[in-house]
Amino acid sequence: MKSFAIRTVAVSTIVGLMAVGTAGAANAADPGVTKTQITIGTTTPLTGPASPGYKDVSAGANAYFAYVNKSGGINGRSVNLVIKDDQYNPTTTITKTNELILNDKVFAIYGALGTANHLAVVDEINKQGIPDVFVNTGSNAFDNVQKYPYTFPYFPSYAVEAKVMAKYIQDTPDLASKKRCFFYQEGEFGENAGQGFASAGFTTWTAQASYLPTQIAQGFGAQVTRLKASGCELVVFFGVTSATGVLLRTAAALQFRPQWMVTSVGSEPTVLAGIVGSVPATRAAMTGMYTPSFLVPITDVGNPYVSQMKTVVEAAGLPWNFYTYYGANTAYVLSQALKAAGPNLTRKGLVKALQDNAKNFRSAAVVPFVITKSSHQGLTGYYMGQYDSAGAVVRLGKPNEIYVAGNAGGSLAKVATFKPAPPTKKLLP
Amino acid sequence: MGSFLDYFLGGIANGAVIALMALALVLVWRSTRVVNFAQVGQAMFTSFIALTAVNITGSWLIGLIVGIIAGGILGFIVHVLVMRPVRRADASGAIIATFGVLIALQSLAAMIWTAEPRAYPTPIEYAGLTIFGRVVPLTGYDVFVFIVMIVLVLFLTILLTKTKLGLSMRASAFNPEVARLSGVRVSRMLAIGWIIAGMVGAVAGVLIAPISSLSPNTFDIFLVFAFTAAVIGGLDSLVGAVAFGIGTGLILSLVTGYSDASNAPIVALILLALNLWFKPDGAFSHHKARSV
Repeated sequence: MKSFAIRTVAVSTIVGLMAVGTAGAANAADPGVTKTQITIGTTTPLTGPASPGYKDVSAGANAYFAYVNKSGGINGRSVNLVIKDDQYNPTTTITKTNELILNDKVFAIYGALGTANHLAVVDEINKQGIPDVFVNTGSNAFDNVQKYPYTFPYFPSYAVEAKVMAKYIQDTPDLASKKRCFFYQEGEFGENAGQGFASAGFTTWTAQASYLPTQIAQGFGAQVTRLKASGCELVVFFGVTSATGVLLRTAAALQFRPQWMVTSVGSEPTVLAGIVGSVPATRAAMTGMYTPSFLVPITDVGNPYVSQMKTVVEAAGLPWNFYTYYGANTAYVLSQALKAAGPNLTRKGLVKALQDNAKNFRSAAVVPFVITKSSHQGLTGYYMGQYDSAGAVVRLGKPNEIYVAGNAGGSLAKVATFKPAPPTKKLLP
Repeated sequence: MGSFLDYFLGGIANGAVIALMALALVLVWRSTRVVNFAQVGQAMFTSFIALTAVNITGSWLIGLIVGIIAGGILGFIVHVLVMRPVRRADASGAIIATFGVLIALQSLAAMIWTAEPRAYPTPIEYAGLTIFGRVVPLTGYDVFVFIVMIVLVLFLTILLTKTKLGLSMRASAFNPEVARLSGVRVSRMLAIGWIIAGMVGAVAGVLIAPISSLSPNTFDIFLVFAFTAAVIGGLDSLVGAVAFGIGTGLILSLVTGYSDASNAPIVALILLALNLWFKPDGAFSHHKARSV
């Protein structure tokens, strides 16, 4: 924490000094917008340990922007997405964000990935009045209109996900009667989830265990031993997908077979299948695993969102997976916001367009999208899904049944119904 | 008590792979007097080659053999292309060069095989053994790893202490000038040291990969723990590396089991610091303190 604070201070100072030099010049038109082009920028891990999966998010977004550009752009302008590799290292994020602002003169930051990464730059971005749209993290730290008026999350938060899980467990007698345990990744990710459960009144766990990201390579023998020895029957897991794979494998080896419930970010089916491989016992452990989600299931190829985004992504030569899907989806939402901001595009105009029109934006999300003058929550809930024996996530519950919750406040999630609008014509804004 | 036994056995299983990697570090040190931080990178790279062979042939054993050969070749390449040119630099120059090799290998592996983690098969079913009617966190595979480790230590100890080749290698590393005057072909001995260490590292890699998954960065954490074990063990001692490799695994398992996962690496580093403070020679070392 200390080093982080020092880093933040140091960077704020540097960026602040730079801002003083440029402040006077930014009057006439906002940076990054010409008659023919809108330049936006993102920071994301393209290389390094965190890059598997994550590197596909910006690629998926770029595929969608290329598609829009080919179809005439947005209000006559093409979108130019500048992608900077920060290797998931917050110090590098600072450098790369400075490059985006000072060299590339971006109009907006879009889809910046990683909680710690974005915390390192979010103050400065807001101080400079740069729209900071659809941060790619489930941390609820960025839903703060007073502190970060220019920052707009998209991903439904981990805290909301925990409240959804709590509600689902409570309402399902078979789960409610089980001895439940909590296994989480150390750091903000796990803490956010823990706070979500606590605020929903879920404070009594039969056992808890945690892991550090660096421990994934060693297996989870000690943690699984503790959970098993405590007699856990339902294990709620908040960790990354590679950790889920190792967890299932270790548990299968130790003949520990609880009911699993895994966070949406810890259960990307393609990555999971790659790690689990063809080991039958581990594959068996995957079947029946609960996992919340908020987009139309990727395997639902009959859905117009899924089929059209799949076409766009694959036309760009990219693999079709959750990450490219997610990237293309937020790019679609941003394009609608840019269009709504009108031909005379300004930063303030984009913020207003988001606040006024977010509820009308279409996307593959099946939960309400909330951005108003008083709330920057983004997506507000999840549906509950479950893995079938073929390794696909099946949506549970009545048609269009979802669970919604706010980031703040101590209530459980509520059951709701939400029928998303169909995509716009040809998926264009 | 049941849990203690579980943490204990799980810790030994964890420790065996740390010990294997520590062995490779000690080998390079003994035969070249360089701490090779690229060791985990070499092991990762050759594990990818081995996995490719497994996927083509369907045979775990052929994968291992291909991996060992690749490990030897890669060790030789690192020696010739990187370490020999920097041999006139001071010790820190050589160490920094090994870091460069590590980063280069990780990038190269990501370019060839992508950074997606993938499963590595085991020759024996990865399932916990049943002891006194209960399943313990020690799999048949872990026992296999343990046996391989013991065989390797015996083989390497005999090679280094009982053969002329071993004597020449140690002499070349310890005092190249004197060794050369005594008729030892020093450059060849250094190359052989890198080759053997590369082969041992390759065995370690192939055995570690199935525990979680294989990706360009999976082995990074083993560098920290293997280095800890090797240093506490005295850097010179094969038995020390193995003993403290297993000890490190035990501590990590017990600390994670009884307190909190986040305390495990801290405890390992505290032990390393205490050791360097009180017994900088390392517990099993016969030599005078290293001057750093």
